[in-house]
Amino acid sequence: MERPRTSMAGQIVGRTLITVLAGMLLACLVHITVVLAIPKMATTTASVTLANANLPKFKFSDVSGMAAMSDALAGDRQFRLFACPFDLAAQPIAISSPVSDVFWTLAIFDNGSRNTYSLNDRLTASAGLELVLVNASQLARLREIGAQELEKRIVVELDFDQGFALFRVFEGGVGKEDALQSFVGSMQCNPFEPDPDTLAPEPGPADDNRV
Amino acid sequence: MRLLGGLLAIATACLMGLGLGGWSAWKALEGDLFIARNQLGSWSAYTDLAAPQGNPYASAKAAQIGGLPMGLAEGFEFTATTDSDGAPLLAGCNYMLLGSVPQARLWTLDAVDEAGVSLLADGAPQSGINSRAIVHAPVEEAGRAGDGVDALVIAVGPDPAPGNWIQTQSSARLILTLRLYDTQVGSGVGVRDISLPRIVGGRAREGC
Repeated sequence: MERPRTSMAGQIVGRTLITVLAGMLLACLVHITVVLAIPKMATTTASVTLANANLPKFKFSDVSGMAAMSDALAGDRQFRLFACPFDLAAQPIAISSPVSDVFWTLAIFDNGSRNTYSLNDRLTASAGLELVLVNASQLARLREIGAQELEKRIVVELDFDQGFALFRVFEGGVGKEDALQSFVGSMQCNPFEPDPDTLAPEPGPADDNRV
Repeated sequence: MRLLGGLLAIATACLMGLGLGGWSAWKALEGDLFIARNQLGSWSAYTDLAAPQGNPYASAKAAQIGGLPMGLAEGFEFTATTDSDGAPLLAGCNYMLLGSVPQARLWTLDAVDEAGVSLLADGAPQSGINSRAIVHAPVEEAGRAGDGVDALVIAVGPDPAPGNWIQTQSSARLILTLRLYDTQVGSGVGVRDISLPRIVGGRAREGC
């Protein structure tokens, strides 16, 4: 049997149409891939710089002078920045700072520049800041053992393990230099371990402390 | 012949896909498509860069800017690249910021170029000015600003001005950044409901 013959023009139109459609489809895929890849490929972001800086653990380091930080579009030059990298896979992290006259904010970032939690000094105006960073399993564990210290702290549950805590401390303000130095010297970022004395409700000395 | 035609079609589709896909991604980020951005007179602000919450365009934009975006409890940032008439800001020209700044415990104003490098003149006292070290305008000036008694007058430019003055140098394009700290803007108060200073031309200078 002889196959029905389509015209040459029809073939060309059909093939062009398929080519264009395939091209558009591929363009959509490329578009999505590029947009999704940019955050992972970016190498000059402040968070990548911090992640690569090998900052000491359990300590807030002054990072204001680092290249990516001094870019004034990226951050306010009237603030000093202090970062403490953490990895919750090892243990929960306790962050604390004293009551102070200086204006400060605290933000918790993941390693992809996502600001997941933030607060400012107003929240802790009457007492110092006491905050614990935990992941879901640590929170469950701490609740299970009845760590009463959690009640006195701001508990922040994160959905990632590695990131950094960032204090932004306002540098301006006349006559605030001493307050700033004392605040900066008292910021803490330590492994969090509940005090065994406050654990409930196992029988023993801890019971005496319960109300 | 047919094989050659097929290969040509595949190559065309691939080129088209790569070119169009890459170009459209770049264009979308450059033009802030699919990203929450508010424009208020000369000032603009991104509202979801800190926590993109599943918006891949906002994540990509945040990575492109490369900073450490402020969370809502920290503050809110506005940038201006044009004056109130829409003309680009230049560090070599004089401007006046007239109006008021939304309520915030603290605000800072800085002058930088497009790469984020300071455009403050050498020897300028600090990195821009802030609400804790500012001279409030007398009532007649406030009236001129047209925004009531809270009005601010801030001069920006190379020529000395009385009161609040941010001294700039160079002839580069100027970006003004206004950062509000501990403010309701962006959370309790909508960005569209606030008033920000107008940026008008100040004393004339050659080339401005």
